[in-house]
Amino acid sequence: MATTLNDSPKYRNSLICCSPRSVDVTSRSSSSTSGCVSADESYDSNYIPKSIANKKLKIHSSATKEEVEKAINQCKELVLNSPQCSDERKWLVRYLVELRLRLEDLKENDGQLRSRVAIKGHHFEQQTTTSNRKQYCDHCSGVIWSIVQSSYICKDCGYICHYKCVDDICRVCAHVVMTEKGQFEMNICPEKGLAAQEYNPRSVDVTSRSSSSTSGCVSADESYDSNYIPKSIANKKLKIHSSATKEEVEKAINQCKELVLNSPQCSDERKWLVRYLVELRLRLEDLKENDGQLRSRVAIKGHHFEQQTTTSNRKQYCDHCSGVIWSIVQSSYICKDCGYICHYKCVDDICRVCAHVVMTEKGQFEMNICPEKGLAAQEYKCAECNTPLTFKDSWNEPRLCDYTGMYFCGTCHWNDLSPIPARVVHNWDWEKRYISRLAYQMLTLSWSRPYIDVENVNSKLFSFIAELEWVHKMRKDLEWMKRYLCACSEGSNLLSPLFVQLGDVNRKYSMSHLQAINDGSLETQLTELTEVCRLHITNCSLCSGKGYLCEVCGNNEVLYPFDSGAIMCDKCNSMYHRGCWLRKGQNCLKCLRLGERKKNINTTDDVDTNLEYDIDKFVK
Amino acid sequence: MSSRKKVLLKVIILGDSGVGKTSLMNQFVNKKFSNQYKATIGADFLTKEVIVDDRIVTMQIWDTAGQERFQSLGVAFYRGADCCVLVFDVTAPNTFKSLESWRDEFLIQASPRDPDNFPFVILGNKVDLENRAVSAKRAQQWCQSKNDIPYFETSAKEAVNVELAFQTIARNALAQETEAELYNEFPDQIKLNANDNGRNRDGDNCAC
Repeated sequence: MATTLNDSPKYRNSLICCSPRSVDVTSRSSSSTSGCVSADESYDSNYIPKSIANKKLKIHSSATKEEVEKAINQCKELVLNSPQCSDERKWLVRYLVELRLRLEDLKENDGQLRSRVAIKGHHFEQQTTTSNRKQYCDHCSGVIWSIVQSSYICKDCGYICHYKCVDDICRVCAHVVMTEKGQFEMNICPEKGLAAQEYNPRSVDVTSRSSSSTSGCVSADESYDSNYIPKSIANKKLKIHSSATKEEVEKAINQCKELVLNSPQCSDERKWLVRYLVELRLRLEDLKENDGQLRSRVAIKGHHFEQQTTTSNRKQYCDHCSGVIWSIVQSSYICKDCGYICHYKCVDDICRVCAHVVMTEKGQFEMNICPEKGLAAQEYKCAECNTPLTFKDSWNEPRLCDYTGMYFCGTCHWNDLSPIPARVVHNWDWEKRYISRLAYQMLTLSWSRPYIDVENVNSKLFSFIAELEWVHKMRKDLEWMKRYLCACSEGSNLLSPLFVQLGDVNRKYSMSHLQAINDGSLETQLTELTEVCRLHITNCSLCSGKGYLCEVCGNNEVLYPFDSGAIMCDKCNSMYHRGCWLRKGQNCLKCLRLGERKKNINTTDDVDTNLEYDIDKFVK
Repeated sequence: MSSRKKVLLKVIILGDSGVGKTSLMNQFVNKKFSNQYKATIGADFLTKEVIVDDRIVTMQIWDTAGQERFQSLGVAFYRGADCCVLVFDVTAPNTFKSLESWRDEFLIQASPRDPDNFPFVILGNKVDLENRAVSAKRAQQWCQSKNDIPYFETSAKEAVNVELAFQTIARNALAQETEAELYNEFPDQIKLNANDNGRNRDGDNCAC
């Protein structure tokens, strides 16, 4: 679960505890979104309010008495200016105490090694007894050579560090944090991705960050429950067994019809009931046609099964019972939409809804990193087939799906490996992780579908991944080029599939695009493509006729929206050289003109004296 | 001088949407007319060879989008035009009113060498229709007030006056082109151009 970053000794302590959220089982399972709020605040700069870190209170390790005294005075002032009972004041006071201890220390043993250091809530003492075990510095993770290096240990939390490291430590005393909080973090690894921790100091925007991290949480809860099918349907006794007769199916159809009429309009329930009704009718049709024979087509839970006729060379496993399909003696079905394979005998019992249906309806990937809520949220049952699961049972251990954050049994989770979209978008982490069969089918099916709105989910990724930013810029250029090429008979030949995929108005990415960005192939492809298109547009008389001329300088150079040296007025779409635009005080000449004209028309209407537009009098 | 070179005349047709710009061009070039309305996207051009004063010239006629929402791209093709045709619908007074702004906008974007004497031609289209709202007299008066712009009443549907109008357009354009060629004879034409445009820009400054 933990990322590689969290595994390093540096980060181990800070993850133990974070969100000041009460342990309340009911509220925990109900809302995964509400939990997101608190974490953001408290993680920042290791629990210490930002305002303190920014203010220049820091003193270097070899500060003199005077410097410390000065810092104390500054700190005092800040304490008085800070709001009462605030976190800021609390930490300022703590810092003030630390400074005073420091001053005391300086007075006592001038020039000597400080025997006590109080910093960030720690109470360090010099380590005197040399331990037999090798010790590592909690700050720099280097070995402490106890014979030659003096070191400190915090008597509260056991933090050990080199003498030289003590003034630079980042971690707040775990004892202080835990005592204040008085509880453990009760969310299972409440990961929000590197973006939430601001891997890029270039764009620090606290407000947008906290809002975006919560907004991504919406979809998961609603749709995953009971395999995407509303509970009400599963409960109602609509099920028919695999060898049902015509009469039984007809009866079921009538029952289903009634239920459809009774269900609320436009609800999920009705949608699934109608889908089931269609499936039943197909079944009836099938029964009428080939009575007693093997059904060649089966429609169930959104799947469209067809009998597999060609025997494949590779060994196939049934997606329902995970048993081998002996293709010579056993007939089997394959869903032509999602590729689900199962035995002939298993087809009526399958639990999984067609991954194609689910992904097409949802139109996006899960964008929370492994939104795990624990086995309790699944009532200690497999998320797909409802087999009871516990961690005590070593025979059928619960397997965590890193994509859905749910636990599955061994039959529904085959330890397939895949990169996880949420981890890619948040952390640019391409490591493969274990996922359930359902997730595997959904991911492979939607791998090249443009489902990822990087701009909305994590706009910081653009500044973090230079290649992505470059591709994004080229996509914007392509979008403009498309408008030229579409209206040109010669240019429309240049609209390759790649162009159509990436040059559209919705700027979403598919996983395969992101993968190609990661290995660099998309960048080269796009550069070539834009070059070819640019060449056509600038040389074609029709396309270049639709370019722009800079009105400010009157130069004959034709400008295009995809030129970096030009700027477009977002109101009237006229273009200028960047330099000319700045020279004109960033005013659009055409917009000014239009405004002037409008004013003139208004005044002539009012006063009936037409200054410029004498055409009116010819009309009247 | 002009006979040694193949002459290409660039003509721009402007006017509000639905006044019949595309129809006029189609009638002139292809001798075809369709009652179906289809908005032009961006701009398009057709070429036709015509004989003007015993000389064969090629007319490149640019048909433009009158609708604001189809003018999504630039109008760099204005530059280097030899003649501008302004079209209005005689049954819709608003299309006549907006001729002024079309003309102004064209002069600014095209920035011709001599804006005051740049050849325009006004066409009042759809004279075949009965519900006329702009009288020939009024249109004629306005054209006279604007440096005596030639005015024609046309019908793209019935092919009334279309040939005659385009003959005039070609003749006026050729006159402009010959004048332009005279300028082009000088080797330092770019400098001249720049100076000229510089003056335009200053004028622009005042207007703003």
